[in-house]
Amino acid sequence: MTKSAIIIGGGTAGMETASRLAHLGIEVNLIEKQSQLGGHLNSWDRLFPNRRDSKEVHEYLEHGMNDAIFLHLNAEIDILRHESERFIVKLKDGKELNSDALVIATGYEVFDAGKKEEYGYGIYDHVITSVEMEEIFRKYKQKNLFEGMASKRVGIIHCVGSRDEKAGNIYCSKLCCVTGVKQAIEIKELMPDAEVFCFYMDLRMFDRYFEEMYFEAQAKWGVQFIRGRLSEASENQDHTLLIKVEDTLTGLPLKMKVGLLILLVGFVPNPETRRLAAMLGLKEGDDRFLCPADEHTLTNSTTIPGVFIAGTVKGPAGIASTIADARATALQVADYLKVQK
Amino acid sequence: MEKGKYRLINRNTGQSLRVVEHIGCHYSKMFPSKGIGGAEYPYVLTGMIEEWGGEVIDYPERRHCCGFGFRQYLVQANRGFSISCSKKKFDSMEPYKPDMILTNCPGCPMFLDRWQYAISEMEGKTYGENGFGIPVLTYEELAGLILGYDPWDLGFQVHQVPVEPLLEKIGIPYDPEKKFKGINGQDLGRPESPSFLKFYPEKA
Repeated sequence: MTKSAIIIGGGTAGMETASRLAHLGIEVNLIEKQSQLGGHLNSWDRLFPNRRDSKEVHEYLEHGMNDAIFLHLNAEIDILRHESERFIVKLKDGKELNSDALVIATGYEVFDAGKKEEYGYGIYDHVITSVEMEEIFRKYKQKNLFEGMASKRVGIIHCVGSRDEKAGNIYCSKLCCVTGVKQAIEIKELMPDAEVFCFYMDLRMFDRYFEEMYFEAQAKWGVQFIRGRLSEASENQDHTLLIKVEDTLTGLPLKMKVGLLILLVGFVPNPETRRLAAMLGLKEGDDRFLCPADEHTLTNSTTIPGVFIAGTVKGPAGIASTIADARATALQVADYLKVQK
Repeated sequence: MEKGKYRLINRNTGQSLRVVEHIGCHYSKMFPSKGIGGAEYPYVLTGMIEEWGGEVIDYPERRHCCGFGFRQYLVQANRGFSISCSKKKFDSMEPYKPDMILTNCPGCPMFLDRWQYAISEMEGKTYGENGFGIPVLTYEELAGLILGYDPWDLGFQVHQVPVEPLLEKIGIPYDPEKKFKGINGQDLGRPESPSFLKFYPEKA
């Protein structure tokens, strides 16, 4: 009899897990709450470190979707149950699905920048998030970014909602740093006369070619990096923003007028993940992301046999590592189904 | 609920009065969860101003220090910090043409009021209209005015920056002759006029 798996979440992790499982001859039901697959990948314009179009990765993932995968778009989960080695999913439209294994790939959400109200997001027009900056890049490839703006200076704020006890998130979102560097370079490419300042705590250029991008941003594009956290942003009468930062390398407070302020928002656990985890009785860590069965050796499975976790439900991760993780998850699921009677 | 007698509307133009609100440090910094509207941007004064018909000004140095702070004022050698703090605020709010400043701490109005005089003596600079300063009120004083108390019963004669221009805008009647009379009607004498800051309204 064909074994089956239900995958919840049709983003990068869910799509790749589905594709690999289908390839291994397993029947897959892929549940996605949005009207299209791709998740957050659809929000990015170009990807670090090589700045390729994100659509190329989307196309690759889309290519893995085949007839053995039953897609459920616009689908919301009502009830999730575990009954004698079977998983039963009731959708809100009344449809009921069941399977031998379950993969949770519900991903993350970006931090709600409005919670840092001293940064002025949602209050001032020219304070935007890094996600909105990606949208702008998508829309205005040729356009003057600063049309109608009284200043051609851009401030990029790192660690918004990450490594911030007050925001309730002490973990590092790890990919905002390189996103900031990428966006700084892209702004300079688009608008060579722009002045770009990044305000950071540490720059965590952990992955391959990240450090090189950081170097390029400084040497080739003249992006300025100032070590210090934003204290507050307020609006001038001409709608430019006044930002106050402490430059911790000179030990002096700094005030600057910028035309655009980009907040690099971090990862937070998807509330939907937490809801599903509660229904199953899955454990979450102090950071509210899901706990694997073992931090080193069993990162794709959970304490419940047959329940697997893929991608950013376990914490911040980039696209390459999410795809690698999804493949590892698929292999774990296949192994599990093989020995299951 | 009983309505106030007056509203924060300029009776000559029909426009809302433009109000600077200044939250005292101690309001929510010790107990962030107790601040009405949160600890970062408490709503407590904004709510009063809006309820009474006024418009709150959001200016760049809105959250800057009023100029008090024990170490910068009580240590005499540090008073330069104190007055430069207040000046930074006045310079930032001036382009927005505030009709008044509202505070919720006993320290802030003291400094925002008195330093306007000191700055005028030092630099000849005044921040209100026609050589006046920007009147500075505590929320109790403003509530008293809105409810219809006599300005002199509320103690406005001890302000360094005269409140008469504000009373005129709202349309609150006052007797200039009564300003410097004590409760028993006895004359308390008149303070000397500052060099630049207008203290006595022309009408008086």
